[in-house]
Amino acid sequence: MSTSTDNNASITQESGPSAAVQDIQKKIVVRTADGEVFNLKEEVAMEIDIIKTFFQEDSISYETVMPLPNVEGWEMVKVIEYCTKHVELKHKVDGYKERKAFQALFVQNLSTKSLLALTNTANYLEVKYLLDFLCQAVSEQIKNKDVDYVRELFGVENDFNDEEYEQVKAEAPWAHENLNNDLH
Amino acid sequence: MWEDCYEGKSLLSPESASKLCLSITHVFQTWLKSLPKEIIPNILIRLPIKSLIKFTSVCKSWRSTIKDPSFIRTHLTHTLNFNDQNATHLILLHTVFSEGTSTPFGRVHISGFQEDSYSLHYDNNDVSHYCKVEFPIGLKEKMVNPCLRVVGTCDGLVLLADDLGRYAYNFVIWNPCVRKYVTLSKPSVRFATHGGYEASLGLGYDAIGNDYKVVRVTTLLDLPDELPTTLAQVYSLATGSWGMLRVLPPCQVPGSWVQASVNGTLHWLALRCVDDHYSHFVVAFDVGSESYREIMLPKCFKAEKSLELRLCASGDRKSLGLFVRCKSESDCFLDIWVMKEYCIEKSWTKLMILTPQGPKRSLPEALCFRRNGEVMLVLEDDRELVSLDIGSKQFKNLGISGGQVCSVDSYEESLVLLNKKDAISY
Repeated sequence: MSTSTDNNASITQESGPSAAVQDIQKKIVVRTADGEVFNLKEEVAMEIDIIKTFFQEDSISYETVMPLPNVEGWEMVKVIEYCTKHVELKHKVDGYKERKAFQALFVQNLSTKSLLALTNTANYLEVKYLLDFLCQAVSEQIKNKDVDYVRELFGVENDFNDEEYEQVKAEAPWAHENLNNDLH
Repeated sequence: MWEDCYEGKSLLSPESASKLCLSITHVFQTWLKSLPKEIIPNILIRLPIKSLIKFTSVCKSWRSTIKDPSFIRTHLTHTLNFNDQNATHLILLHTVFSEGTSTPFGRVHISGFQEDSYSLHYDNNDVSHYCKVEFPIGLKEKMVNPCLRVVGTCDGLVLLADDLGRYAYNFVIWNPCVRKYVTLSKPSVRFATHGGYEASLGLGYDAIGNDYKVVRVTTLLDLPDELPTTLAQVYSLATGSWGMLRVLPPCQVPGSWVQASVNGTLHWLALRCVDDHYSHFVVAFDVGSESYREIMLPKCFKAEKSLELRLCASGDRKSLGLFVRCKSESDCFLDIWVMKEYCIEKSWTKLMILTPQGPKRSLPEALCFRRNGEVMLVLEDDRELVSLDIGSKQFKNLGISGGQVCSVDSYEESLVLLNKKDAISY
């Protein structure tokens, strides 16, 4: 399902910081961990700080395919989807409702584990607004879950012994009541 | 691919072998990709308080993160920003139902106490109900008066005082979100030591010392009739003790139990004798630096029995508002003022004048400015709460009773007190 090379944004195209002609179809190419290749519009690519830094700060030519060894193909698809929408809404005056509707759809079919993986990726790629949104989404998913679920999700071990654990619970018994144990 | 291995094919074909290697690499990379430490706090600060407290039992590192003072501070800042962006600010409402109230010597007494309740509401158009707040039962036993009074709020903390009636020295700093409270030690100025007095209180945040402080301003009454003596004393939550008594410049701070907290400074109305009569001004106490200044009111309000002044924070919380209510045989009005620029006395602006309405000629009492600039009022006869839009002059009945005594304070949910060792949980 990769958005692989389309014929226009070929490597032979003149691009790079020194090009005088403003080429609307400037693309940046990245390769994810699973070998998928993505062509990003420049304005979307520049939303991703790790990509922006790679090309701009080091003045690397856009002909270079940037490797993203920590990113899966499906994650890249989602990141591109979000950043593209973000760029689109930048130019709109009152995009609040549209943004909210988009955000709801964006997370709709993602399991909590996938959300967490995507959060990790957004952190690695350095897209702050996406990271904040995903952290918010994860928090919504876990807030009513029990402690065992949270430990499993985050891969965290319970390092309290039985006595310590009871002590912690006894500090605020009211907070440990009324758990919602249905797991997505 | 796994079928190749398990179904007895003894040799792995080159394709299978390379697929197997890719698969292992993938798993290894996924393992390496475990969450970097900075992500977990970013998720945690967005959780509701109850979830956060529950998750202190996930593991030791989560527990120490959640209870860490800088996390508590970041969580508070995040909550404030979130509330700004989503218009989800809260207000704490305390209503006391009793047969009546009286104000001997200017202090409010409750007679025939029935019940009181605390609740949180959204500070939106309808002031819709957010949740009821349970009052710690253990506190009631220690009180002298039928119920406590809300002095003010700060960062999720509520300062309660046992002064709705007789002299008492019970003060409580309470965070209803984390269900913890601290009772203060006795202050220096008491009836036994100083005779009769009027006291005013306030709660504020000292940004310099990252500390919450209670300021108590007392005007001594039983002194020979020369210069009135007003003393201030500061309690630090961090040290759990009261500081030195300080003498303020000669003035009287009547036991007006309303203070305005703005810009890290507490404000009370004060009186000073000028040309043979007492007139009002504002005493301002900076909580961080513990420095004192005076602010003039828009004009000279002489102290008269029929005149009630009430200070509050302005709608944007950056300056002061003032309500002047007069109910006498000759004069009956409620003036609403705001100081458009904090400390610029010329910027005091009269926004509106309310006149008595209806056959009973009732005049509402003003409580506070809301964030949207409207004024919260209590109707004189049925004690219903009403929100007044100054621009359109429209009144909106909120469907909430103000009881005999009512306080409205802005409130932010926070974790403050969670890590306070000697705080009492309930």
